[in-house]
Amino acid sequence: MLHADIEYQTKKFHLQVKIDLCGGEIHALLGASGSGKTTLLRLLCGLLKPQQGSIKCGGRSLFDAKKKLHLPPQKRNIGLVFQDYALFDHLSVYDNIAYGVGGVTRENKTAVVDEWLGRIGLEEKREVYPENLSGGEKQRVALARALVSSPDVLLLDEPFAALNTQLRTHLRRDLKRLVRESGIPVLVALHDLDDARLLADEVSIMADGKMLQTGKTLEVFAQPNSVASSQALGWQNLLEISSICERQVNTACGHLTLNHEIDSNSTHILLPESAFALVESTDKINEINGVNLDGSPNFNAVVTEKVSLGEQYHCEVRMKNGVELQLRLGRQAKSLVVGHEYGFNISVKNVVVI
Amino acid sequence: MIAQAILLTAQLAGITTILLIMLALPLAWWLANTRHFSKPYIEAIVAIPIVLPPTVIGFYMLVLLGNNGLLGEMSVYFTGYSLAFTFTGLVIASMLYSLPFVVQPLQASFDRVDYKMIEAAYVLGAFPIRVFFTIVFPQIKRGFIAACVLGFAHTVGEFGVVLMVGGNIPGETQVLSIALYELVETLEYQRAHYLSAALVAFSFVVLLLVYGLNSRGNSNRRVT
Repeated sequence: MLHADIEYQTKKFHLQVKIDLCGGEIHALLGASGSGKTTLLRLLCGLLKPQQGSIKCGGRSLFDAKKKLHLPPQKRNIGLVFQDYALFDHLSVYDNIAYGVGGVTRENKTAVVDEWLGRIGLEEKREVYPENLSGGEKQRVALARALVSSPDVLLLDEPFAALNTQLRTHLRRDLKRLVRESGIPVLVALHDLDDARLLADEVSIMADGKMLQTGKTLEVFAQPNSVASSQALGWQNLLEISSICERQVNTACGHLTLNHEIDSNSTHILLPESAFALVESTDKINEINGVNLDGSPNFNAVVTEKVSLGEQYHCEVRMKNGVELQLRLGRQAKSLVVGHEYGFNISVKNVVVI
Repeated sequence: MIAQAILLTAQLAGITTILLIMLALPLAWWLANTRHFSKPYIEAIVAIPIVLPPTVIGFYMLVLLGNNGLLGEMSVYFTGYSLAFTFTGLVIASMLYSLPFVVQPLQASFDRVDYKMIEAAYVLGAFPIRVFFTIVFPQIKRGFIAACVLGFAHTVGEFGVVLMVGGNIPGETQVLSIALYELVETLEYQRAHYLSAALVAFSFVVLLLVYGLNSRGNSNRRVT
């Protein structure tokens, strides 16, 4: 268990973070480059010193501004996997992993390192130097090096940044397995949304050094709580609400009658790409998504781009008022011609109000 | 005379190099990592011996080490011995004269050290001394050898500073370059030839070693 409540001033932003990590859970930090993810990891492992607050790990105080306590990274027992792995080029795979093993006999050290070489499937590469390893192998060595000394917490900085899709899938699985086996809390900085969805139990959205939202991965992805969160989570269709009347909101896409009460302080609605349907003729509007024509959302827009995704089509459309939307349409979109205007409808059951 | 001069030169170059490495390692590390406003000033001071005539350095060292100079006076006060025209004074003057030839290769090597590796070692529980010997030193090894070789060779080749600070006292301050000067003065050209040829060969071997190390480093970088 790790608890941190810290503040740190950089040239770009004032980092102010409160975070709790539980054993065996993977917590993802999501945010754009420069949002403070790496800075937070460096603060937690002691490579940077916060100006305010405290960091506790398993009842042990690692940092306390009031008591002027700042344990150096050597004494924190926190594992860190760097974005580019920072493997020691002049040491073999064995020596890289063995570097952090201390306080044991040579025989025990060999046994522990060999066990980890087996776990990551690199027994054959024991004496190989990092420059002769593939990206995935380097990543596994970095992971084993961080975990071999049984850290209290594991921090990973963009661990999949330099890997291809197939390798990512394998390594996500490996990472999950190793983390579950070790039972330690894991904090991982990511910018890829799919990695976060598939890997993390909990997610925090970071922007300008602040935590915008924290929660269970599925909940956070389904219900962003702010415009910045929704943008960080990849929501493309964000519309400003011009007026609210009970369940009705007025937006650039016209009136939407939602099926629940709306907070009068709401400012935006989020429309998933899949919430749209093509209205092939005005006669059929009534049939689409069961939305009533009277008061139902309905707008015209020019198709500016159409990309086939197999069974589905990704389309970009622009309305007369200049608002651009990203749509995911079914086979019905096959007949769409770029540059032509069409009518579209919105399924309100998938709309998120923030 | 020549054997004594060779031994004295080797002693002077050896001691100067060892002391310079001890001084230059922290200085070069600081210069490679600092953003302090004083960095360019310190770099300029370190590099002065490259551009200044050795006689100028020799003159000021003589003033400094002489019995009325700051260091000379302190030495007389604390030890009772003078520094001018002594082997100790020669070592101090040589250190200043050869300083840039040791600091600059080390600083260039420290500039290339991957700092992430150092941080990774810290996080893995290693304290600074261990990090230096296991992570930093393997990365600066070539620069370290180059600094040692250049520092040693440059001290061997000194003339102006040695003459000004040490004079020409056999067994005390008469190093190879001074001995050669005396051979020429006394018209012993045959021996002067041998000595000069030996110094040319020594310089060639030293430079070959330095360039060999550099080209090995460059070819390694291309492969990776």
